[in-house]
Amino acid sequence: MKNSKRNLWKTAGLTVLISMVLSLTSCKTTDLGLDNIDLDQLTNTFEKFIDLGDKTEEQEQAFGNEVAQVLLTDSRLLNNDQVQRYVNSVGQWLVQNSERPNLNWHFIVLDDKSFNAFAAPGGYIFITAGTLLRLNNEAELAGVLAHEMAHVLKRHYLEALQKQTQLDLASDIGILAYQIKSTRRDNYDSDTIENMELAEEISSAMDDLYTNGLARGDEEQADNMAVIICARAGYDPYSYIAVIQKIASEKPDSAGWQTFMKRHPSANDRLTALQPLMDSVFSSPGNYLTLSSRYQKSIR
Amino acid sequence: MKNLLIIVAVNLLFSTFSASAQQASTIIDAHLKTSPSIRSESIEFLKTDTSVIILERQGGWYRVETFPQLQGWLKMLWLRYSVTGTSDNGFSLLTEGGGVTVATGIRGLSEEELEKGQGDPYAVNTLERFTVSPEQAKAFAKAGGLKKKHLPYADTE
Repeated sequence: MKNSKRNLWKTAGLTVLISMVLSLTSCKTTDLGLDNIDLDQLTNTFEKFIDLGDKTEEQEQAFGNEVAQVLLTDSRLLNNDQVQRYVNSVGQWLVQNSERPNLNWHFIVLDDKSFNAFAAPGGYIFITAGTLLRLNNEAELAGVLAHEMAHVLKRHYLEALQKQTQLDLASDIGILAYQIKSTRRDNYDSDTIENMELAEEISSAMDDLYTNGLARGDEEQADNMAVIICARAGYDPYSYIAVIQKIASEKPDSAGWQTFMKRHPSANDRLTALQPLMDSVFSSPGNYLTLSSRYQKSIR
Repeated sequence: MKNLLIIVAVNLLFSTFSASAQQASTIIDAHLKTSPSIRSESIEFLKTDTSVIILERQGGWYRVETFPQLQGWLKMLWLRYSVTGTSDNGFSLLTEGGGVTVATGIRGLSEEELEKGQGDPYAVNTLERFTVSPEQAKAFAKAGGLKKKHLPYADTE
């Protein structure tokens, strides 16, 4: 099982590498005017990758699709079309209030009783059925989805991957590009030793990322954005505070949780970090909704 | 006797509610307010770490009860929930238990979950049937009475 997952990560890892290589090489032949860029001058090629916009959005989605495949190997889809559609409706309404409405977003409910939600690049948002059952209203659901959306909007997973693999795309990708170019003429040969090493590196970085989560700064940024996105969509922003308070009250009773919390801000620290925003922007009650009864009808 | 039964029944009802009532404690010295507003009068001064039971929420405020039977309002962010864990009751959506009780919450997977491998990677190709169009999402929002608001991200980022 472990091996097959490793292989999937490997495929996903290689796909992103290939995508990034393709994005770099394709720039050289398109009208983006990047022909004369000296790759060695790029201190952070990944920023370039991010700035390329539409061209790489497709590749981000293709990569996200690979990651989603891996994640769906580990958890089952909830077999309830009504609930899946409902969560997609809430999600798509939030998307309409975000900066990337044109991504092909997917909101996926997993048949799992844990309290969890996560995202993959390109607009894949996962939420467990256990989370849905712990929430009280639609605004709380919107909060969880908006938090995960923020990670996609800001490309946190892609950036973290780059940091963790220490991939200096300017040099490493250059070498790999040559290898892939030559191997692509024949059939792609994944046994090339250098590729395998890089793939291994990316594979373990992904394991690490989805086990240990993102960095503290990313989480706090996603928290702040989640509150704003919810409010833009008309949802009560304080429902998000209620969700984080719920997380704070969960019993830390598993080894996985302990590992996770070692590196991450506690829910209580996240609440403290949210206070300035709530006090400045949401000090007076606005015309916001929680939609508790629609939620109960749709979920139960 | 009949009245006594009714009282018992009513008590049972309330105790069901109180079983799910959330306990919390104050993280700062705070005034218990008569209404959910910072300008409202103080009922009592509560020291840090005062235990309360949350009764309801209104905007950014909780109506709470504190010993002995004192009720009033506190700001949500003045409180932290006590760790209670969650019961497994009511998991009717699920087809099976799963046996994972991690509470990573809003990011991260447990190692156990990454090891599970009981899903279907090709399910990713079946997701389109759940997708909702922007027009459908707008109709969905309208049906719920949700109204778009123009709000920039805060500087706190």
